[in-house]
Amino acid sequence: MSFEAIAARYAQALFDIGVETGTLGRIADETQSFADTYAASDELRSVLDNPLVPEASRDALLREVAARLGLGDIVKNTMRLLAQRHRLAVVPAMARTLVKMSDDQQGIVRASVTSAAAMDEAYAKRLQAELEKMMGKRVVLTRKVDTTLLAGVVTRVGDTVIDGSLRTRLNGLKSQLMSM
Amino acid sequence: MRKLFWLLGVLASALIAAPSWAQDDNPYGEPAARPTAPPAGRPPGPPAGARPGQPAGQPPAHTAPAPVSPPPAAPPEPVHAPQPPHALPEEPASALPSPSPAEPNHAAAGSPEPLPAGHDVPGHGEHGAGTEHGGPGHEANAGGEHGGHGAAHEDHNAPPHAMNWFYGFLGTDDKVEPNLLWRKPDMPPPFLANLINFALFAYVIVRFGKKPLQEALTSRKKAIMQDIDAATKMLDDATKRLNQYEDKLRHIDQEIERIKKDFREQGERDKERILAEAKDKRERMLKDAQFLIEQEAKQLRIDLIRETVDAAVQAAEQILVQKITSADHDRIAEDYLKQLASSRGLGVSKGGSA
Repeated sequence: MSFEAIAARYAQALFDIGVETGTLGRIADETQSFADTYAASDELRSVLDNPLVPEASRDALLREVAARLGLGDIVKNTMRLLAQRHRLAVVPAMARTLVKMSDDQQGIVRASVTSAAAMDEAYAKRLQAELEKMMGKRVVLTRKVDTTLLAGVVTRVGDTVIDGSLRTRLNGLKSQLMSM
Repeated sequence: MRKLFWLLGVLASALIAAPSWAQDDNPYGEPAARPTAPPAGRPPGPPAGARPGQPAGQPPAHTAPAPVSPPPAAPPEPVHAPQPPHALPEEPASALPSPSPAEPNHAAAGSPEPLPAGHDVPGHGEHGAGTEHGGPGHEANAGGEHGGHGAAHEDHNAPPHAMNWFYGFLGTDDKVEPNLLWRKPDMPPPFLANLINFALFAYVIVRFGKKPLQEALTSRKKAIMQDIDAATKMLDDATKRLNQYEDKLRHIDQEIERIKKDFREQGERDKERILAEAKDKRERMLKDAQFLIEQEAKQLRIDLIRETVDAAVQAAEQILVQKITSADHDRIAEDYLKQLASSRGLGVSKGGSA
């Protein structure tokens, strides 16, 4: 069975628990937080995924990490169960799936906005409102800065890209000149 | 087969007619070849040692001391005295090989069988002259068997044994007179039996061997005929080929001229073909070169345009980087919002990246 299928099963389980307990958003955020920590730290992965490390030590380390991240019991016990079954490698995929399921269940659309210069809050709110108006759902923005864009804004919603950067206009001009 | 049966019939009829005189002549039914005179060395009169009861004219018994004649200096015939001519005609019965009770071993003298009693008689010619043993049929064997060391060489020239034509087809029996079924032990097998055996043998050969032999001979004949036909055909071919070669030899000069002409024509054709091929190749190479030049020129033009455009875009980018201000950023961002609201003028793509 592939990691995606395994991750989907665990994500579905956590989703069901979150729906039942009414803490789906919190569970999704905690799972995403642990997945980011797990993916970012090579040392943490080398210890938690090492079968030579005693299970008690790994469990103690996992409890410590969960305490520092402020994870609830549901997410903490889920991670301990995955550690016992040596399935912690599926945590990033499980977190992505769970966040997506949670967003779908709550009607949230996540959008990534990249600009050539830092974007002020007012413009961000206007952009969010415009996107929510266009999508018909609540939009959560993630802002980035990329100076290679020269100027303008690029918004990614799911697999849709709305490009208003000056770099794209220059590339278009270049293609038109080359085709002449 | 018909001839074989005809031959057998002739022989049978001849033999059926034969006993009337064969019985008279000799016990074996020999029709002829009877000696007109007794062999040399036979005593003219009855021997002094003849046993009682022996018929007159019968040759003396072995027991009788034969008159010893001096060793002959000449061939064997003079050894035997001439026999009286009346001996056989007067005593036909005595010529039969059947021994009488008084002479139990006399008839067996000519046979190779041992003689139990006759040889015990003193004065037997076993080692003497060995010339007197009875009838004419006995003399040959007598000489061979009892000739001893004296005049034994003389018996080789004795007359041949009387031929048995048809007595004793079934076997020998010394107690009966020779007839068609039985013969005396000292008699050879009947010649007619040999003929019948031969006839049966010939019949068997013809009956069972005729067909395979005919087939073999037929196949052999066919093979030989085929070989002859093949050889004849080969001979004809060889003769034709010889005639052709001779004809070619007679016209060899014309042939040489024709070959020279053919070679000249072939050379001319090759020359024209090579020139045409060279011309085509030159035209093809010229076209290829022109095409290559055009392609190179086109590629150079494209490269030049690309470099020009790249340089222009790069220059524009540098100018934008140098000249763009925060007001320009705000203005472009505001334009983005307006275009997003009107859904016009923005590059919207699915699955791409910013």
